[in-house]
Amino acid sequence: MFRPFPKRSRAHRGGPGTQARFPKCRVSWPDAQISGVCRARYAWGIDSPFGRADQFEIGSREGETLSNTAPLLSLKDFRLRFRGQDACTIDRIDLEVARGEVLCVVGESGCGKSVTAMALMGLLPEGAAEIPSGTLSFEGLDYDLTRERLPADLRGGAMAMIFQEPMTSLNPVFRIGDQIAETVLRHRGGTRAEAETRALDMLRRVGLPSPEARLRSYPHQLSGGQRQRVMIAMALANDPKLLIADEPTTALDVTIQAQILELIRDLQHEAGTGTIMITHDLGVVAEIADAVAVMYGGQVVETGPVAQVFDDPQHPYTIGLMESVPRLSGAGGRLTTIDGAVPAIEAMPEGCRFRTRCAFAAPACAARPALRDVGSGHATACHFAPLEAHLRVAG
Amino acid sequence: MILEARDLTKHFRTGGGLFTAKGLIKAVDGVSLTVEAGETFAIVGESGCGKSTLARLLMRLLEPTGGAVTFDGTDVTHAKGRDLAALRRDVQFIFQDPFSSLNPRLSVGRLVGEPLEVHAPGMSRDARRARVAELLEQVGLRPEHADRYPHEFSGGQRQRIGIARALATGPRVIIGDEPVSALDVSVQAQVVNLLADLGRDLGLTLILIAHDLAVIRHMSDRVAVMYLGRIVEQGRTADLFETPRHPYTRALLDAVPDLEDRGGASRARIEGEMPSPSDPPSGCAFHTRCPFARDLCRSAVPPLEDTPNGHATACHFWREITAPPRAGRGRDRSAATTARLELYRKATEGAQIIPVPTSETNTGENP
Repeated sequence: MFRPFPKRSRAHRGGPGTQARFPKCRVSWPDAQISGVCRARYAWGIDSPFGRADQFEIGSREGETLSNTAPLLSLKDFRLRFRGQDACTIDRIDLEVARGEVLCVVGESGCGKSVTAMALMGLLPEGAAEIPSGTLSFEGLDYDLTRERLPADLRGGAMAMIFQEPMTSLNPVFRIGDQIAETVLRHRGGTRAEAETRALDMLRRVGLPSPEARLRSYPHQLSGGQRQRVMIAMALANDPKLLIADEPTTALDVTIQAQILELIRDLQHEAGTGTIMITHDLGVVAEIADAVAVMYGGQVVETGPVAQVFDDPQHPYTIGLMESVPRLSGAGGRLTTIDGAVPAIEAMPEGCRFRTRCAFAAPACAARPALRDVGSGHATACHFAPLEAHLRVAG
Repeated sequence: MILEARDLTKHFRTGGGLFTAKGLIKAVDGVSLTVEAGETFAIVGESGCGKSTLARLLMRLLEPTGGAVTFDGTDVTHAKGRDLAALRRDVQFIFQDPFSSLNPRLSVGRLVGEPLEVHAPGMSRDARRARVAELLEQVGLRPEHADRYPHEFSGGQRQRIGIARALATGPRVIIGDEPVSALDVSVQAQVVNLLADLGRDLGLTLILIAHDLAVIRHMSDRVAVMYLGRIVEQGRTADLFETPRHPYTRALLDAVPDLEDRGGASRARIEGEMPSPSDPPSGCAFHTRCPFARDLCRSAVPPLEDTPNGHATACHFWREITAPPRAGRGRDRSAATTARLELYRKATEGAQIIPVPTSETNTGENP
């Protein structure tokens, strides 16, 4: 039977005896960079913080110093299919995030942006989805996603996530301080007191009022904005290299949204964290992103630096999205719309998935257009780009 | 004037049980407004400011603690029975969440026909069916959708069903509580256009509760900004957005991330969060977050005063707040991009699009 996420063998898990069979795993790690738990596991003779012994050759320490110019995370040719479906929900996408960069993944609901994030973090339930292709390289180490999930040690450590609804993602029966301390203990080890000090530090850094008192609060005693600050504190407690934020401000009011966006921006600038932010709000993208990837139906249809994409949108879907947003600066006439709604995955057309809603759809669109560079890192997947050079109004 | 509220208040009692102290939440605290026939009036504010309570008071889903609601010249503050039923016929409601506001066990035809069963009991089954088909077409659905169930529809279509249901009794006023905020942008635009068309074609008065300022700017004629149960600024939408005089209105406008703005990260922000309505600050409720706050603001509640640009603002120091709101650096668009956007607009409006002959294209590609 094909297992998308094979159970990890004893060697993968590490544990007593692993060392004898995988002697080459003994690499010396610069101490400061390893979290406490990893250090402990290394001390027990477990192969690596990343679990997999046989991968050690791929990402050596020298490799990492070399790769400082390479992206922090790059996802290549990623496909994901939910069990029982024929079509891939995520269909061959490539994403890249550099250190200190904010990549916004934007699209309407059902375009696969959250699923991508969940798959990256290894949060999809085992057996729910298969991954026919996809490689992930993170911090110079490569992972073949078809065979394995990301090691659990990365999750919440080097890779952290902020969710949309902080009320449902915090545990209602534990105090805030304990919840933050738990992640610190899990990844850095140390004593409970140290972890609590760290939790307090983090609450201060995210600007929560009276942090000492808040340590002992329960989630329901906080407002939505404060809960989101707690989520951010928790995510950043282990100094992640990559932060994935899934609609972090969608549930918040505008004034609070502005505060939270500024906080995320400041903290990630400070620490040089690479960030993938998932959002449907183009205003948020304009405000915070360095780069943007527009997704539709599980495909990336346009990507590039945010200024280029927003000044010079190429793909009909990007244009449609931008034109259908009402403007704060002035009342326009009728809003331009995109016809219909995103089709269900079973009804997704072959080729360009946007063609059922596209005003320019032609027979050529039955073949999937490749992402084509249109200058300075800006690429679009449309046969007719640039539209004005290939098409005109009849008559 | 079709709908008027005078000094409307709604206080909710909370607690008083075994474990909690008694409290009083002043959800709406002295709101006066008038809505003219045929206009679109918007009420904006952050969550907890009392805008939804106000909407429910206006359509008498809740009974006010104090003040009066007048609909078309008749006092409906304490209307009951037949009078209230008549009010329901004239004032209808569109709910925010199209997923929970439709009974999943009723077919679309029953859902849309239900208000007719109540308000036009004499109508024959066939006449009702015909009317339902007509309503469905009016909101951009097909008559055969009447036999389907809500789960078969997408969010945007469900919101259309909700709108058809609200239109069924032939109301004069429709109150929409965040009618488009649960929808995706492209679908939101469709529903915004639909509401605008219906408002114009049927001569409806729309009262729109929303937190999205861009939607309000696009749709409304007049707007009232609420903060902690009170209206802090009110006026014509264009005036209010261009020359806001209340610090809270300015803060709201500054906080909205704008797609057209290339340099957004450096805007002024207001600190803190809205205080709890169960324990509002003394004086001007906004003084805890206001960058202009002084001693007077902490002690005296500012009255709603008329300003020269034709709106009313409740701030002691509105005369000093004259700086224009943020002006974003606009997008930098080339002629080619403008042509492309124009082409897109024409295409969506139904123009026929033909390929440019290959020899004319400079790239030489033949798609």
